[in-house]
Amino acid sequence: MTTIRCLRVIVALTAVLLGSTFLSPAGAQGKGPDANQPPPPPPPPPGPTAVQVSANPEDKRGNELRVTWQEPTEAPPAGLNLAGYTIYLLEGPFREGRKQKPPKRQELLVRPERLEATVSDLKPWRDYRVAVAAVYVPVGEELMPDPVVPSAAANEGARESEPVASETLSPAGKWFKREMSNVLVISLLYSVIVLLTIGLARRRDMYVRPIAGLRAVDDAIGRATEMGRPILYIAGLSGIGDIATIASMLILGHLSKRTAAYETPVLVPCLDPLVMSVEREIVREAHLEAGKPESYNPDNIFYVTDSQFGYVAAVDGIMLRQRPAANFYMGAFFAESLILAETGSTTGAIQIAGTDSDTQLPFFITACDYTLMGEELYAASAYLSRDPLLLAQLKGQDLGKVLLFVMLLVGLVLVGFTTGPGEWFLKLLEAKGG
Amino acid sequence: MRKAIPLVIGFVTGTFMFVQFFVPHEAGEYGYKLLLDWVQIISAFAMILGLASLFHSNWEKVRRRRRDYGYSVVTLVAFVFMVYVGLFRPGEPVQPRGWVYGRDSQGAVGRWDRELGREDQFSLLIESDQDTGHGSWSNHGTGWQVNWGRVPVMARCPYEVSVYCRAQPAGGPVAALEVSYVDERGEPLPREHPRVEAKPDTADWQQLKVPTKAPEGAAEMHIKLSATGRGKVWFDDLGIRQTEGMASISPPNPKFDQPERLPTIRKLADTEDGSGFKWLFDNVLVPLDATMFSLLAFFMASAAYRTFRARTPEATVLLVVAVIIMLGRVPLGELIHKQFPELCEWFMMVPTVAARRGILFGVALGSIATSLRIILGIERSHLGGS
Repeated sequence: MTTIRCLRVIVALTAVLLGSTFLSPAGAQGKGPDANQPPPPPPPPPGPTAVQVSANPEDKRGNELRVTWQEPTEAPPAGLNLAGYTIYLLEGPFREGRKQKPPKRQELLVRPERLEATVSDLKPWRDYRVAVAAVYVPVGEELMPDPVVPSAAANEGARESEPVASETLSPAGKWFKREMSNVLVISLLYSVIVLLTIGLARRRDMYVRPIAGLRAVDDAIGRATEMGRPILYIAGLSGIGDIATIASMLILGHLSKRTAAYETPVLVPCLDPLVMSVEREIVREAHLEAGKPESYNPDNIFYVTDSQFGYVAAVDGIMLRQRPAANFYMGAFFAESLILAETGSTTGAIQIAGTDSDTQLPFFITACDYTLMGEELYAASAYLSRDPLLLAQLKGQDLGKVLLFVMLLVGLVLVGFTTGPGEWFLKLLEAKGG
Repeated sequence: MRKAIPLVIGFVTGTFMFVQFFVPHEAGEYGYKLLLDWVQIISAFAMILGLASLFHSNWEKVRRRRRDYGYSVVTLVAFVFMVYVGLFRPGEPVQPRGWVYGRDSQGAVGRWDRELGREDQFSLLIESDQDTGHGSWSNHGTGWQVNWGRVPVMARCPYEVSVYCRAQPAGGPVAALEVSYVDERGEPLPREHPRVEAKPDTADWQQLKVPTKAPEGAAEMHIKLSATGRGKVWFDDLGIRQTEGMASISPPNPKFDQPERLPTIRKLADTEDGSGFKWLFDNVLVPLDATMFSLLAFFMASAAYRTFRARTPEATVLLVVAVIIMLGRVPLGELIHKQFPELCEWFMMVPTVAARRGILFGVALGSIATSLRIILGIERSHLGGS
C-alpha cells in the first residue's frame, strides 16, 4: 500500500509540474519569450479628417484641383507635434476590393495652419483623388522640408499618418475668357456689319472709290505685253500664316487671269516653299479660268531661298538681267523693301507696291509708282474681281471705320471731360490676355 | 466637289481658330498646337518641293544654255556643296583639342563623349565589345597636333599625374594611366614608364594617380590613358602637380571640353574633324547677308534725294520735317537750337504715331474682313473662280 501511495504522490507531483509548465502563459504559446524580437510598431498617428476635393474656381485651363481638410480630431502621440500635411495625388477612381495604385506623386508639404491646397499640372477630364496625411515632428522642432525632395519632411523622427483620400473628381476648367468679352462683341459686331453690307449688295449697286494703284494694274500688264517682257511678282517675305501673304496670293490670282489672256509671263520668286506650292495652284487655276491652260508654266513660280538677303540678291539679279516691264510688291515686307524697290526703279519698270507693314510704307511710296497702303492691300482682290459681293465688303470696312471713329470721339469726350464714365469706358475697351 | 472640300476645310478650320482664341481650356490649346504641328509637317514636304524647284529651274537653264546660265551653274554647285556639307556634316569636331586616339588601339573605339562628364558634359571614352579590346588616348599626336597637346616639363623634377575614370560594367574593363618622357628632339627617353591601373566603378568616378620624376634630359611629358577589356571606360579631369617647388603646370585641355581646331582647308575636306558647316555659315553666309543689308544705306540716300526734292508742296513739307528730324537726332541740332530735339520728338510721337495708328486701324479691319470672306467662302478666287 505504501508503495502504491508513493506512486500516487509521484504521479500527482509530475502532473502538477507538467500542468504548471504547459498552462503557463509562455507555455500556452508554445514557445518562450524572445528577447531579440523587435517591439511591434506603434499605431500610426491620427490623420486629418473631412478631406474633400473640388474644382478650383480660378482654374481656366482645366488642370487644377483644390483640396480641403480638417485637423485630426485625436491628440498627437506623446512627444510629437503636428507640423504640417503632405498632399498625395492618386490617379484613377477608387474601386472597392481592388488594390489601389500607389500615389502618382507626392505633391506638397504644407504648414499646419493651412487647411487647403491646390494641386496643379493635371490633365483635364482625367479622374483624380487627392490624399492628405498629417506630418508629426518631435516636440520643440520645426518642420524642415527635405533639400532634395522639398515635399518630404527632413526632420529625424518625423512620422506621418495614414493618408486620407478624397472622392474622385476631374479638373473642369473654363470654356470662355470672360475678360475677352469686349473683343468678342466688337469682332462679332464688325462681322455682322460686313455680312449685312454683302447682303445689301445683292439688292443694289454700291459705289467704291477708285484706287489709283489698282487702276494702274491694267497699264502695267499692257506695257509688259507690248514690250514682250515678263512681270515680276513678289508676294512678300512672310509665311502662309500671314493674312497679308494670303491677300497677296488673291491678287496674284486676278493678275494671272488677266496676263494669261495675253500670254505674258509672270515670274514669282518665292521665299517660302509652302507659299510657292499654293501660288502654283492659284496661277494654274487662273490660267484654266482664262481658257489658256497651255500658257501656264510652273517653272515661272520658283523657290529661291529662305534667307532674307539671299532672296533680295536673287530678285535684284532677276530685275537686272531679265528687265521685267512691271514689278509688283504685294504682302508683308521688312528691311529689304527699299533695296528691292530702288533696284526695280533703276530698271525703269512700272512698280506697284502694297503692304500692311507700316514701317515699310514710306520706302515704297518713295521708290514705287503706286502704293497700296494698309487696308488697300486687302481691298485689292475685291477691287480687281469687280464682284459686287466682294466690293460690298469694302463698304463694310468703311462702316467699321465709322464705328471706330465714333468710339474714338466718345472716348475722347468721356476720358477728357469726365472721371467716372471715362474710367468705365477705358475699362470696357481694355483687352486682357489674348 | 473640287471646290467644296477646300471651302469646308477652310470654314471648319477658320471657325475653330476663331473660337479657340476665346477658350482658355487646355483642350483649345491642344487643338491649336495640333494644327500648328500639321502646318510644320506640310512645310517639311513643301520644302522638298521647293528644293526640287530650285534645282530644276537652274538645271533647265544650264541644260538649254539659256542667257546668263553661268549664274545657274554657280547656284547648282553651291546647292550640291551645301547639301553635302549639311547632310554629312564634314568637320563636325570628334575629338577634343590636344588629344588623339592612339593608332595602336585594337578592337576598341575611342570617341569624345559630349554628354557625360565628371563636372561637365565632356569626357574621353574608350569602348570595346571584345575581351581583348584595347584603346588609348594620348597627348602626343603627329604633325600639327603636336603643338596642341604639348606638356613641357623640367628635368629631374617630381610630378604627380592624376585622372578620374569610371567604367561600365563595374569591375569590367581595366583603365590605365601611363606617363613617359621625351627629350627636346622628341626622342623617347629609355626609362621605365610609370603606370597605374584599376578596374573602376560604375556609380562614381575613381581617381588614378601616378607619382613620377622627369629624368635627365626630359623636355616633355607624354600621357597615355588606356582601357583594356569588354565595356566602356570614361576619363575626365586630368591633373598634373609638381610635388616639389612652387611651379605649376597646366595640362592640355584637362577637362576635355574644348573642340579640336583645324586648319580651314581640312575643315571643308575632312569628314572626321573640324566644323565645316558652321564655318561656311559664319564666313560665307553672314558676310554676304551683311553686304546686301549694307546696300540699304546707299539706297536710302538715293531715295531720300529723290523724295525730298521740293517740287511740290507735299515734298516741301517732307523735306522740312526730314531736316528737323535729322538735326534733332544729332548733337549738332541741339547746338543750333535747344528746341530741336523736343520738336523732333514731337514729330515722332504725335503726327507719326497718329498716322500709323490710322493705318493700323485700317489694316486690322481689312484683315478681319478678308479672313471673314475666306472662312465663309465668299472669296473663291484662290480656288479658280469668283
